Parts: sequence; C-alpha cells; structure tokens
Amino acid sequence: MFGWAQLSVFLMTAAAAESSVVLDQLRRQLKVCQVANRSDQIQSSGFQALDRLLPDGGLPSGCVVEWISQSDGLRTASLALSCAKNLLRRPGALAVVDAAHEFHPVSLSHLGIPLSRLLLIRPSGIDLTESNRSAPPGAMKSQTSVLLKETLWSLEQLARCAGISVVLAWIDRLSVTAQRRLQLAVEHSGATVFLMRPATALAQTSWADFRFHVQSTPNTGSSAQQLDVRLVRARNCVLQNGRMVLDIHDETGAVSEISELADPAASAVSAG
Amino acid sequence: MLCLRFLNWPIQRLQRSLPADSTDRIAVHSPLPDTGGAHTRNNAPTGNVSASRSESLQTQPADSAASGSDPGRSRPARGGRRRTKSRRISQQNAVRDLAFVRELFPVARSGTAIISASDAAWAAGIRPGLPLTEARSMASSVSGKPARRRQAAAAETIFTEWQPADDRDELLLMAELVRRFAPIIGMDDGPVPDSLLLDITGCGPLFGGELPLAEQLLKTLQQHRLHCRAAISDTVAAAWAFAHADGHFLQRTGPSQTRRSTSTSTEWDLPVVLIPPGQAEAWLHPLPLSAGRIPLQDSLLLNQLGISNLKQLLALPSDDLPSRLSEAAIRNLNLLRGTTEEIITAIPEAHPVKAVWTSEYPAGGIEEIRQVTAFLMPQIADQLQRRRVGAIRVRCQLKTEQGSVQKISAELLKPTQTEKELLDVLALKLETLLLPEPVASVTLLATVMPLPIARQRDLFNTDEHIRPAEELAMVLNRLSSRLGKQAVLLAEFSDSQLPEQRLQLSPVMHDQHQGSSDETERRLDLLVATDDCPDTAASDFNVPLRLLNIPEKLTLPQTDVPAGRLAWRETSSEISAVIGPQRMQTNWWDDTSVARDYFRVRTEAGSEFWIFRNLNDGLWYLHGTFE
Repeated sequence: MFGWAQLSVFLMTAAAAESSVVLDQLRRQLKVCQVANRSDQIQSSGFQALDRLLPDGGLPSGCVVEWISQSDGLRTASLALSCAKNLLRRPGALAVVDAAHEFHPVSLSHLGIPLSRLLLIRPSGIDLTESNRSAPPGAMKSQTSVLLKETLWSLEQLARCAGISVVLAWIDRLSVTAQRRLQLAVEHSGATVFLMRPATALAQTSWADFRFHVQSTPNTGSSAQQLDVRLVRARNCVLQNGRMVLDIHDETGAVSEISELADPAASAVSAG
Repeated sequence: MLCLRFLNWPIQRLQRSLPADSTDRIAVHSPLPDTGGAHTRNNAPTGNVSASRSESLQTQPADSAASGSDPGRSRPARGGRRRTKSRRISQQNAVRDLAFVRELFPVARSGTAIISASDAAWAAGIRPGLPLTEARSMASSVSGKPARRRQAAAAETIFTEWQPADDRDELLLMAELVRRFAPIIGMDDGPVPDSLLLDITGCGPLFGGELPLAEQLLKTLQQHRLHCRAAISDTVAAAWAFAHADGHFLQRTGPSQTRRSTSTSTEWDLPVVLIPPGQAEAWLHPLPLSAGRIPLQDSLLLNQLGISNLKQLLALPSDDLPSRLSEAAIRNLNLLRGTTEEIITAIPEAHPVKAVWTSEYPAGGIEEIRQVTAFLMPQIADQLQRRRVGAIRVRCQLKTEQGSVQKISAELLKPTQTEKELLDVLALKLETLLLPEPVASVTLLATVMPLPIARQRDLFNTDEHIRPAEELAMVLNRLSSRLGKQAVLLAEFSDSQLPEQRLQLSPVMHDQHQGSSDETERRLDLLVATDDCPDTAASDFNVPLRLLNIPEKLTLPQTDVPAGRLAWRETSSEISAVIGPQRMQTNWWDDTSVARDYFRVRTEAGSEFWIFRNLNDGLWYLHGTFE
C-alpha cells in the first residue's frame, strides 16, 4: 500500500539527495574560487606520505600551517623546515620570528636551506610607544604582552610581503582576530606561514589551513627516533584520521618515511 | 673612487665672477710683504686694474648668495657661529697653503710672486713663479704683431692677491653641483686643494657605467663654466695621481691640447682617465713623484738619488724608506700601494633636502605630528625628484614652545623617492616618541643617495613586475623602524667552534658608511636567491635548533655518561638513549677556557636534549633542545 507516509519518506530522501548534490556543487564552486585566489600553486612538502595526507597533494601557496608539538625536543621545527626547503624553491626569504632569542640555525644548512636565505627577527619586547609610556606606572603593559604584540605585528608584516617565501614563528597564544589577519596576509602575498605551537593549542580554535600534531611514537627498539605526524585539521576538507610516521636516523639525521604504516584510506578527502 | 680636479682652481674661481666673453688676463700673486700672510684680506688693487674691478672679483661670491640661481656660486645660508668656525678652519688651512706655495716658488719667500695665471695671461708671458713687478711690466708691454698688441690693449690684466681660504670655501660649494653622482663627497686634504674626491662605489650602474658617470659629471660642470679632469681608480691616492699626472698647481685653465693615451672618453673635450680595476699600480709607474703627493723636500732628495718617477719609488724596499723619507711621504706611499685605506671625510650638504612646518598653534599629540609629517613629506619627495636622488634616512626634529628639541631618525635599506615609503618608516618611529610639551616646529631632513636604476613597469600585468628583493627591502625598512636595527638580523658562520659563538648575527640595516648600495643589493639578492644549499658536515645535525642563551644546570649524577631522570622546567622523564660524547674544547690561549663533553639525550617521552658535562667542574648542563 502506497500511503502518504511512504510518499513523504520518498520526497524527503529525494530532497536530502538533492541538497547533498547542491552542497557538493557549492563546495566545488568555493574550492574553485579559493584555488583561483591562491595563485594555483601547489608544492610538495618533501614527504610523499605527508603529501598524501594533504587534500591537494601538497601545500598550496599562501597558507597557514600549524605544527603542534606534544612536548619539547620532538624535532617539530626541523620537520617544518624540511617542508620549507621545498617551498624555498621559489624566490623569497625564510623569515624566522624568534621572540625567545633561542633559535640557533647552525643546522639549517643540514636541512637543505642555505644560511644566506635566513632572515632572523628578534623582537625585544620593550615597548617604547607613547601609549605605553604615557600610561600610569601601574598600568604598564607586561613585557610578555608587548613581546606577543611585536611578534604578531612582525609575523603579519612578513606574511604580507611578496619577498618572503616562508615564515616560521613560535606562538603560544593566538586570538581569532590575529589568525584571520594572518590568513588575509598570506592570501595577499602567497607566503607560507608555519606556526610552531604547544600542545595546549589543540584545545584552541584554529583558522589555519592545516594543523599537524606531532608526537613521539613508543620506542620499538629501533635506534632511530620515530615521529607520529597527524593531520588534525584541513580547511574546507572532510577530514579523516590521516597520519604518517617518520623515522629520523640518529647518526645522519636523515628523515625517512615508514610507508607501510600509513593507511591510504586515512586521509583528508578534498571537497573538490 | 673618482678624483675631480678643477684645473687651475684659483683662476677658475675668479673667472666665474667675470662675464663669459671677458678677455681679461688674470694673474694671482702671493701676499705682499706688508700684508702679513694669506689669512688677512687685502682687496686693494695691485696692478693696472681699477679698484672697483678688483673688489668685484673679491666680493662676487658673497653677492651671488642673494641670487641663488647657481648652486655652485651661492653660499649656504648657515648660522653665524657655524660660518665663523668654518672660516677659522679655512684660514688655518690657508696658512698651510701659503707655506706650501712659498716652498714651491722661491721668489715668494722674500717677495711677491705670481702663483697662477689665466690662459690669456700665459699668452702674455705671465707664468707662475714670476716676480710680481716683472709680471706687471710684461703685462703693460706686450710685444708682437699689431693685432696682438691691439687685443692686448683692449684687455686688462687683473693682478689680484691670492685668497686660499676663499678657494677652499668655493671648492666646498662645488660639491653641491656633483652631489647626485656620489653619496660621499670629500675635499682633497693636501695643501692648495683643487680637487673633490667622490666615492662612486656602486654608483656606476646607475649611470650606465663609471665612464658615462664621469662624462655626465664633466658635462654638468661644463654647463657651469668649469673645466675639470676626472680620474677613476681603485683607491683615492691612485685617482688623485692620475688627475694630477702633469703636476700640481701649474696648470692652464683650458683643455689640454695633447690628449692622454689613457683616456677612454668618447668626446675630445671631456678628459677622463679610467683605470681598470686592479691595474692602478702598473699604470702609476710613468707618473712623476709629485703625482704621488710626495712632499717637495722628499722629492728633491729622491731626485738627487736619480729617482724621478713612481715606478722607481715603488720599487724601493719599503722597510728602508722610513729612515730616509718624511712621515707624510711614507703615508702617501702606503696609500698609493693600497696598504693603507684612505678615508674620505664627507662634506656636509649645504642645501639639504628639508621641509619645515611652524605654527603659532602648536601640535599637541602624536596624531597631529603625524599629520604634519604627512603634510611635509610631499615637499621632501618633490625635492628628491627634482634632484634625482633618493632618501636613505629621514630625520625629524621637533621643537617645543620652550625651545627643547627632540630628534628621531628613520632609515631605509635602499634609497627611495616614494612619499608613502618614507612616511611609513617615520610613522613607526613616531610611535616611540614621548612628547612632554606641544610642538611648535617640525623639520624633516633627508639624507640622500643616488637612486637605483628605475625599472620598467608593466601596465597590464601587475604580477610580473613584483621583484621579491624590492618587496623585501620595504618590509625590512618597516621592521627595522618599529623593532630597531638590532632586531632584524642576518646570520653567518663565524670561525669559532663554540656553539654559542658559532654564528655571527649582524643587522640587515647596516651603517650606510660601512657598506655600499652594492652590498645592500647583494644581501637582498642572496636572501631571495633560489640557489641550492652547499654541502654541509653531518656533524651540524648534532647541533639543536634551539640553544639556550645560558646553559641550565641539571641534577644528574656526576658520571661520564648521563643516566637517570632528566628534569628540566616542567618536564621530567627517564633517559632512554644517549649518543656521544662530542668534545668541544677551546685553545688554552683563548680568553675563555671551555672544555665540554656534549651528548644527545633522548628521554622516554621522546624528547631529545643537548646536554654537556663541564669538564672543569664535572657538572651537567642542558644547552639546547632538538626542535
């Protein structure tokens, strides 16, 4: 018996199917617009496994990437710089915003980046602006907040510059406004921004195009250090549980991928 | 380096005050015995010339200041104190000049001698070194053909006393005529100077090469009725030598009739000597000793020994010379050899690029000051464009109602004429300003440099003309202005093997006097270049990306190999793997004695640290983390 209930179910199903088609179409159109705005340049990260995780098979120009390190000493920045090496194939400098004044680029050339490409920005955190100096002593801004302000300002200036290919910075806290400004800046210039962030950032909102979480894998008896890199956010993508494992050789520092552990299905599916 | 010689400068200076078609003969003589030296002004006529003519020659430069039509002929509007000080220095130097002239011309020691003569005066037989009385009689009795006698009768001979201080002052003003050709212009610091020294390092490409630069320079000066010779070489001393190859101070005004074989100029009347880089010493060989700025006494001594040119002099063993020659001779010889660097003392600009705002209603806050600077900056940009130079630094002087002055300065990596760029860097500096009182006057001053080559803009494709190095220069200007020079750095490897001293960091915005625009371009090009990385030692891998400024002490057992639980800041974990040791030890003769055994340590949490054992005290320190 073909009743009204069945008819309504049929119509609802048809409507749902139609809406999903419309949504897909809208997604595609959005994607086309964004890709067109991004100077249509996709570059390999230098790691095939990582490229497979990424929706476009590489890092598009003009994007913000967050690298979240579970703890200190996990070679997360080295990993980011290894990816930066490929991005530096186009003209432009590598800018490092080093608010802590602890970045030591001796091993940069070992990662494949000439020291002559490095521009090091070290904000001092001393605010000499009139607004701060004219304030009453009790209301003086702390050095930390000034340092953060200067770091963000430098980061935005560098991200907006067409003469910079990659910007790398360590940022603990990042407001939504700052993230949006950063995003607009990279869309304007085509630069790639790598933000090195602590594990606490996982709980914070992100506007980054990609967010990677780097952890150490349990020791399997190998002499090499193993890193587990997970893609935990990809903008405009339906994200699945993508991960890769990297092996860093103790003596030579060579980074190799352990491909058999990567699940081909565990990747982000492009919205396009 | 370029040496620009104003041929027969005392005469040229005087001739500029006469009409262009004047046929008057001019002769300059040393001070009369009763005047007491060159530092006293004596405008009295001393020849068959009327008083009014002689005074007009002496006072012309001061009068021309009012007209201001010719920058080379007008005096700068300086403060009285500054003018007095400058005048005092000129007069001190003038005493030295007079001593040199008396040494050069024996007649001038006891009497009055001609020291310089115009072409017309030369034609009448008046020569430097001639006693004044004899020169006067020659001027009044010109012999020869009737036509020549008629011409001589129509012309006057002007005998005027030499004023070396005026010569020096006028020479300083000539620097304004050639300001756009070089960022640093100095004056020849020898006695009786007749040359300007231009540091044209890196400026050649802006004019299509060093030769076109020199030719444009001479053409500019010809338009001002100035006859000059330019010599370009690696060092100041060599450039000076080639510009004074035919002797010092005894030069006719007009162009030389015999062209030098070294000249590569394309025009006959533009005498330029351009010495290829690295070949200066070989080219110096045939020049006389006077071209090497060897003092007269030393030259006489060397002549007695049969040494008459620079080839013979340079061939002498340098160790033996100090005992035989004067200190000045040895210094100048070293300058010629290039073993000592000659610094050009820059002549300050007489007419700086400047814009001033004053008001009876003072500006109270930073926002108002910013608006004032936005009002003044177009004037600066306009002046820069008219002079065809770019600003490398903008200084802002703020004068309060009480008279106190605050100064800020914003620098740029590359010279620019762009108003927005200049305003950008100045606005960032203004933010750091504290204004205790309202400001009644704002002055903007620009330090200028030659502009880089302009590049063709594409009208339709906006992306094609984006040059990364130029974009980078702009952002570096902003960063250096806001954060300070010391915050924007470049890194280089140093010779030290100590990890904390392995890198040498230097500001991108270096002192303009230390580096040329070439060096700036080179640095920017290297930053954006896509060259491959040179091969490096694998040991670099063992140095972490994060190095603590001060190593932090760890509480580990004092064993040869680290073991146990590594606690650092908020983290604590058992050591699971150790790689090392790698010993680093400084030489015993170094200032700081360092002896360390470095280990790469991995904890169970997966973190990797760089720790060392200080061999002096046996304690463990954490020096970095592998990020």
